[in-house]
Amino acid sequence: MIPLVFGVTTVTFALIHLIPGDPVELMMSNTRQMTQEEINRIRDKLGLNDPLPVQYVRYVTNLLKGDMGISIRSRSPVRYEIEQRMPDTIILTLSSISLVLVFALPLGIVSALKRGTWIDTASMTFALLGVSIPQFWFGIMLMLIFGLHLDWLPTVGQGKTPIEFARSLVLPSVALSLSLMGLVTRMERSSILEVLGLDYVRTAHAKGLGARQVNYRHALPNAMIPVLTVISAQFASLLGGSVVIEKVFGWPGIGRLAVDAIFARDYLVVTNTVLVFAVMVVLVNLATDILYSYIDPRIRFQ
Amino acid sequence: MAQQIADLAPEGEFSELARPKSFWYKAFQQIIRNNRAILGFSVLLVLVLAAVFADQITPYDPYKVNYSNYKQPPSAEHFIGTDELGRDSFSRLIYGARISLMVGIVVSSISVTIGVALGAIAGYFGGIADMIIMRIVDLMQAFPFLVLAIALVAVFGPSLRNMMLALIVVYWIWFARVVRGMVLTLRETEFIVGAKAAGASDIGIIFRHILPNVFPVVVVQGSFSVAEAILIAAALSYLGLGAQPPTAEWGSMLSNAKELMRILPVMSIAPGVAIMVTVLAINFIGDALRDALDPTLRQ
Repeated sequence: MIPLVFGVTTVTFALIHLIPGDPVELMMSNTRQMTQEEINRIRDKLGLNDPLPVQYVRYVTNLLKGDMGISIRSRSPVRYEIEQRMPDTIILTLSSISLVLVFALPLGIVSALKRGTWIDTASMTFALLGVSIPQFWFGIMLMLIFGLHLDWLPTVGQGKTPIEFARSLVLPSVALSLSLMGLVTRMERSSILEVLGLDYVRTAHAKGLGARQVNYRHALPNAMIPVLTVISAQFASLLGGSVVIEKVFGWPGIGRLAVDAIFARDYLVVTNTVLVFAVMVVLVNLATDILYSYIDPRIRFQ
Repeated sequence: MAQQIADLAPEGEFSELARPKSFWYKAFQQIIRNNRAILGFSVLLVLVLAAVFADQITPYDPYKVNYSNYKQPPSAEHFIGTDELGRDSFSRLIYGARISLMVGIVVSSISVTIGVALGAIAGYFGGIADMIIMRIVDLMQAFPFLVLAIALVAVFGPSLRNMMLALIVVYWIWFARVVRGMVLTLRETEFIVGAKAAGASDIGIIFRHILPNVFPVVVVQGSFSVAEAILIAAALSYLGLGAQPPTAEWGSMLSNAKELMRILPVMSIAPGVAIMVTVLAINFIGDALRDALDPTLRQ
């Protein structure tokens, strides 16, 4: 955990220093031309002339103090910008995960239990399409059908009132959940099929339990662990997908913040957003590890 | 060694029928019996031919601006209409196949090469090389794949070449991990230990014994990664971080089409269908390769 955070900050620090161009010139590009002497004085003041290790230590201490620098675009602290938009990204991601749990899980279960029927074929086709359709294009198609054509839901931006907010959340979350839906459906199906072949399931059948009892009480809980693994492993790609989906739907999360910042050459916003994304991934993976030991006591004893 | 043993066998002892079929021959047999694989290969062949002969088969120049004929709906002259500059969308769609296929193939083949090389070194030699390579791998995995690629494009500057570079930087990791894991188990197997005892050099063992055993899995994962690279490259180009205008590329065509969604929905539909068909075809091939080459991964 600690080495990882150390490594992650090293990467973002390296990104900052790999960016071509002088940070002071970038920062002051809108104002008048400065002399070399003035630039040097500002560099000194900002500590940009210090050796890299010194700069790195200062970078990390500042981060620990919650100081991420100033956005050159909005002139407000980067931390404030990110804090403002962070909840929107979290809401979008969580609502996609809930959609996956509500729709993909039952789909996987049904197609495993009804193996070989049309339901199975249909849900496996759906799973294949889920990983083959470009997520952002799926979003555009949803917009076209449910927004422009049927006019059921808003297509761009975020509603202000709670009901409007929920309505504007629907299309982005569905679009974002697409590939995870496909993966989870497939995973749930194959892990149930695997569990159904195990000895203890046969024992449960043999001692006279009904099919429903065996499937839902005995088989299902054990088939859930791989699904948890998939969701946690895919959390990073869900966040990555949110960057594109936020841009498609004009959703004001940190992904859109980062993309807009790239074109404004607002690099501190870019690197700090990347850092925040990485920290989120690390935290989710940690949380999953803890969750595992609650779900599966065997893991605690290893 | 193997050659010597084969030489000892009397000539004609193994008839053509009795000789055990080679692994690749059996795999080939299985793939050509798979309908979805045949479909995938046919579609991909059409796409590759369209990309290669785009100059000959497109009805119009994809970059020819024609203001007198802009924002046309689909018609007999322009199958899927014209865009906001009067360029023929169908011709642009065909040229788009060039970029997407090129990105997919170049990005995955370079990342496969780097990933396999570093994964094999890390797994086989262990020690400090392993430690350094795996630290880098762990570190980069903490970042969402797409986010890191976007950050790298931000550093390099948005362009098609820089996007491919960024994708390679984040992509090889996946192969390095897979290959390292396999090499770790292979290293302990008896035939490798035997080869070592027989005095084979490390390089010889890696090329003669380890890589051929890793190869099937790499082919399978590599084919899936072509599909994924195409998807991600389209998304990055949609964001304006990949292919730059006026390049005819599916992702950037979709981002152009956004303004015209109300009056020309076909412009938003066609490039996405093209991406989907390409990715599906490659995934069909990947599934078939997996079933034929890597039975442990079969679902």
